[in-house]
Amino acid sequence: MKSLLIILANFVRELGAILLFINKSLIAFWVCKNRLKKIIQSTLEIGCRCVFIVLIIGLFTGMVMGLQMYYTLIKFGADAALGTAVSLSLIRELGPVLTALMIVGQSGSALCSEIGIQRNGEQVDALETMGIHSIGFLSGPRLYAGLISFPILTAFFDLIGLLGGYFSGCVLMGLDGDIYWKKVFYSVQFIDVYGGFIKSVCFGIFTIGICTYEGYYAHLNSSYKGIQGVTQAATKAVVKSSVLVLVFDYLITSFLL
Amino acid sequence: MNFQINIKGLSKHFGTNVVLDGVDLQITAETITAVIGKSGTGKSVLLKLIAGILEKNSGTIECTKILESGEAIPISFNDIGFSYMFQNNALFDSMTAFENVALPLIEGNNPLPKEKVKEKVNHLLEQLDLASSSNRYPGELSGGMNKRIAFARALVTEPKVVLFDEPTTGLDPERKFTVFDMIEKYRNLFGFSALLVSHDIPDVYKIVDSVAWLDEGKIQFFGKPENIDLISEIPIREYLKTGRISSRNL
Repeated sequence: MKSLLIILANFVRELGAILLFINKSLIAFWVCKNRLKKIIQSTLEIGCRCVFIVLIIGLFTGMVMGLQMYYTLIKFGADAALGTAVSLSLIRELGPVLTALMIVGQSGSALCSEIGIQRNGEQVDALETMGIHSIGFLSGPRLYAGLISFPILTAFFDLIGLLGGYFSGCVLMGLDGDIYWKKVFYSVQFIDVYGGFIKSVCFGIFTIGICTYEGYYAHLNSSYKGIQGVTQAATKAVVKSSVLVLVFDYLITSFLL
Repeated sequence: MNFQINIKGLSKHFGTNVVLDGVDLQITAETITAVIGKSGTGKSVLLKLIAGILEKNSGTIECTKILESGEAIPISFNDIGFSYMFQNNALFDSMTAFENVALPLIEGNNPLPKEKVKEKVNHLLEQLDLASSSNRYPGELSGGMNKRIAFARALVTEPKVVLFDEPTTGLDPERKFTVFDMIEKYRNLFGFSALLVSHDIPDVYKIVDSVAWLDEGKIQFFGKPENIDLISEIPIREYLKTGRISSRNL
């Protein structure tokens, strides 16, 4: 019981530290110069790095869903509802969650390692001695880029997923394409898109925040130092981000429904 | 600008390990002071405390600006204008030599217009024989060239105090003297004060105005290099003159 409480207390402390770090990054960024350039650069960095993988995963997720849903729905004679099932699952849940997990795996770990290496190489200290706010300079633009790129990539994922569902359900299994698209358009409400958007924004802030936080404080790891500390930080960042994506997904869904 | 930096009772510990235990030091305008001592005695920590990279546990760092009338006004260390040259250069690998040197001018506290930055950085790179390497990345350049880039970055803001953390580490004897000459030459040109952590005893004495020997967490000797001869304790005098610890001292 005592150890459970210690774990809980550590979790709350860590979460608080991450929230403070995110808050500091978002505010300190406005002290930095060339802000627009930095946001565009970081958005391209995160977005371009992930666009291909997001499209591939989106396409195949949509195709698998189309296939699975088709075989389930046809048992009840409800195969016409395939468009509804695919679109709502993608837009409400799978789109934001899988996109966030993809970005964490692709960009988050790279981001964490990059900042961790800069920390080890004393570049972070060098920024401070130059009068540059290191948190604002390193983490700030990435967080704002996360706010921009997560919803955009989620939208890409949803669209390509719908196409994947159409391909497997209609092209391969022979369902009427008109019915599929009509069901998609009639069943998706603003609240569904809005919910997915809220989720992707939250995931963007938290996952990028965790990755930059872990990289920035990679040197404080008492068990691992140097490059091992950086790899350890990147692993921790990916695990924490992935778990938090699923936890927040549940929390946000319960608020939205 | 005439100024004085008074460090009094500076202490730092990491857990139970006391690294600095009441360091007193005085730095004046346009002087070069070498901080020498055995490895692990806290020389770099002292520099990092002065720069504000690490937080001190106790002690004060007081800075005063001395006016022509002789009046002393207290100012902050940041207001004097300082820069730091790191032991491993701390250059950004993803930036070219030009971008590394220009960084404090673009992103620092007093940003300059693009044209002015270009002019200033190019001029400095030329002075340091780096003009042909301005578009190359640190990874493509030699250790000596990277040292010079770090040196250029430290000087580009025209600081009044430059903190050098072992600027000659890993350099061959020839390049070591080039770096020392560079520090002396640019001190004369730009008029900065330098606090220099070094292991190069007695070579470093050629350019310094005073030597501070740090041992057991305190400054044990502070004075001109020529005054080392006046130290009565033979092992200490021997160490400060040669950089070698005699068997009697082990």
